[in-house]
Formats: sequence, C-alpha cells, structure tokens
Amino acid sequence: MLRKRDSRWLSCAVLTVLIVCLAAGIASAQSDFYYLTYYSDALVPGVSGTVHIVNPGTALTKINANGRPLNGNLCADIYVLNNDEQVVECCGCILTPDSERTINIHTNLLGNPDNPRLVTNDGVIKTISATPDPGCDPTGDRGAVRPTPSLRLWATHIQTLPAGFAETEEEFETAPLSSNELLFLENQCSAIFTSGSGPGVCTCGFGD
Amino acid sequence: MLASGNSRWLAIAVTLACLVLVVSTVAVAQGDDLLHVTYFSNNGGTLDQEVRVINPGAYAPSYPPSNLCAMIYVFNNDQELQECCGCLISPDGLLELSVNRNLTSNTFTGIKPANGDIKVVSALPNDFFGGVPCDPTGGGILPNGGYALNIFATPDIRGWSTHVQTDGRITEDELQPATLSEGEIDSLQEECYGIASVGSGFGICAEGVANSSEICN
Repeated sequence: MLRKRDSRWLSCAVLTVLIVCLAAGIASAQSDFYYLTYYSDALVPGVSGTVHIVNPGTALTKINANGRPLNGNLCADIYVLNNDEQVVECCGCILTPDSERTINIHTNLLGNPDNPRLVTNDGVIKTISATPDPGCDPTGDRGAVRPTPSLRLWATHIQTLPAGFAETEEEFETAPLSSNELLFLENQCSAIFTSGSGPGVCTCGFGD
Repeated sequence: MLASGNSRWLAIAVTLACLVLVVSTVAVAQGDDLLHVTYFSNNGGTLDQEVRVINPGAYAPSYPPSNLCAMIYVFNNDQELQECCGCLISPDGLLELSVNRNLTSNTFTGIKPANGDIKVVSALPNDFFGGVPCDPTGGGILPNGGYALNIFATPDIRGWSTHVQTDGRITEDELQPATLSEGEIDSLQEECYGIASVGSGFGICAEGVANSSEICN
C-alpha cells in the first residue's frame, strides 16, 4: 500500500503527464488548418499575385480496390481582408485529394468586392482548411466551419521595384485559430453573403 | 525540504513529462516529414520549372548514412495521376528534374498537364523483388491478389521547386511537408501500379535520369 503522501505525489505526477500530453496534442493539432498570407500592389493594372492550393490527401481514409480516393475532400474557406481589417470577399472552394487549384488574386479574390471602395492596394488572405458540409460554406450558416488538417498553400507577391515590379513567392504561414477568430470570420462572411446580393463572393479559379 | 519519497515521485513526473514531450515532438516531426508537396503551373510553354531534391544524409542508422528514395507522383489539377517514378538518392546527393521534360513528357493519358501537383514520398529503397531500387508502385499485386504496399516511408529528404507564373515570371519555394495518411500512401502506390501495369511504358517519369548520386526508374 502507498502511503497517503506518496499517493498524493503520484496523483500529481499522473496529472502533470496528462496535462503535458494534452498540451502537446492540442498544440500539434491546432497549428495546421489556419493559413495566412498577404497580397500587395493589387490595384496596379496588369500584374497580379497567384494563390495555389494543394490537397495532400491528409484526410483520406478510404480508397477503392484500384486505390482511387473515396473520401478526403477538403474545403479551402477563403477570407480576403483589406489593410483596414475589413472582409471584402469570402468564398469556399472544394479540393479533392491530390488536386490543385490556381486562384488569381486580382480577378478571383478581389474582382467582386462587397464594396469596391473598400479594396486597398495591400491586404490579407486568410484560409481555413475544413471538412465539407457537404459543400464549402465559409459563413457557418449551414453549420459551423469544421477546421480539419491540412491543405498546403502558396502565394506569389508583387513587389515594387524602383522601375517596374518583381514577383516573389512564399508558402502561407500557419497560425493558431481561436474560436473567436473563427466566429468573427464566419459572421463577417455571413453578412456579405446575406446582404451583398452577389458582390463579396470570391471565386475559386481553376482546378479541382 | 521534500521528503525522499516525494522527491522521487517528482523526479518520475518530470522525467515522464519530458519523455512525452520528446516523443510527441518526434512523432509530429516524423509524421510531417515523409510527404512533400508542390505544384506546377503554366507547364509546356517556353519556360520550364525545376524540382530539386536532396538526401541530407540525416537518416543514418549505421555508417555511412542511408540511401533514400524519392517516390514521385505527378497529378494534373483534376486529381488524376499522370506519371510516377522512384529515384534513388545517395547521401548528400542532388536530384534535379525538369517538370516539362522529366515529369510530364510521358504521361499516362498522353496529355501534358499545364497545372497540377507533385508529391514526393521520402522512403527507404524497396528493391525486395530484385527489380528496381526505388519502386513507387510498392511492389504491385501479390499472388494472393492483395497489394504488396512495400513502401516504407522514412524521413527526411528536402525539396525545392521553381514555378512559372502566369505573367511569365519564375518564382521558387520549398516543397511543403504534409502529414502522410495511410489512405494516401496506399492510394499513391495502387494508382501508380495501375498506370504502370496498363500504360505500356507511358506514365513512368524521369526514366533514364541518372548521375553519380542518383538513379531514377
């Protein structure tokens, strides 16, 4: 039999390990469904950045006898914000496993703003990798967006040179997604879908 | 002062917590270090894009560090596998492949895709049947009718790719790691076996690419 004081320390030990396990699990799971990048020089005619999205098949669990995926679709729920933190467009794009989408920032993400006067030269693109419901609804109106790992995304950025422009590229940055941030994005997007009568809904470019 | 029994429990707790942290960190790192993805765009024009893969020599269970396979799967942007191949890369070796000439010039459908994605699985050589050193089909179908699925994904190759953008500019980024699900690795092997077995030679990428540090099949 353990002495009473020993059992208290044992409880502490078990609790410590459980907390560490939980924290490690949450930390590793949380960081892979919320992605950020910026856009720049969006109002300059003739140049545009591009977003590329790949579904690497992380959510794929079921295949047929020939190896064809039977599930694993993911949504890219996209929120485009100006540099004054206002959502100007949002949309949800489906990606099947192993597929790739090419999205033009100028035409697909900024070509149909809820209010053209809100579009700024630079801004932010936020994307959430989510489970389809079965479509992709970035508003959460048909049920809350369910973040699910793990799309992979790249963006090219237009950079201003003393004469002309250059184009650079970087992958989207991951960041922790708070429940309040998710709700805030859903609500802003919902308002656009509800009140915009079409404007404010971005398009998904090409690819599957 | 803590009693001797208490400090023992405390020491055990700290040790266990550290172990959990190390194990979970390694698991996360390894799970995300088997599959590397990139895209290609505006392929087939005058400009080409290049995929470069290095075996950093980090996987070294014995001396010298191990050879690794880059199992390569090329999809069009409609999730259809167009080509697959395996390239053996010796430690510190550099594999360089042209998207236009090595990865999309011999597609299963005969159509060169303009856009799509490339998946590279880092794996141990799987020449279990005396065939090729890196078999992206995972050994095909066994006599009992089941798939061999003998690719043993192992960290940790690194890759980069240039991309041709719509305005004609070329950009570059590293291949991004992603968690390799069991469904995905099985699907890659089975689909690759499918096109290798019925493609009559079409659908095999990088054929004949070889130098002192790499060989593709």
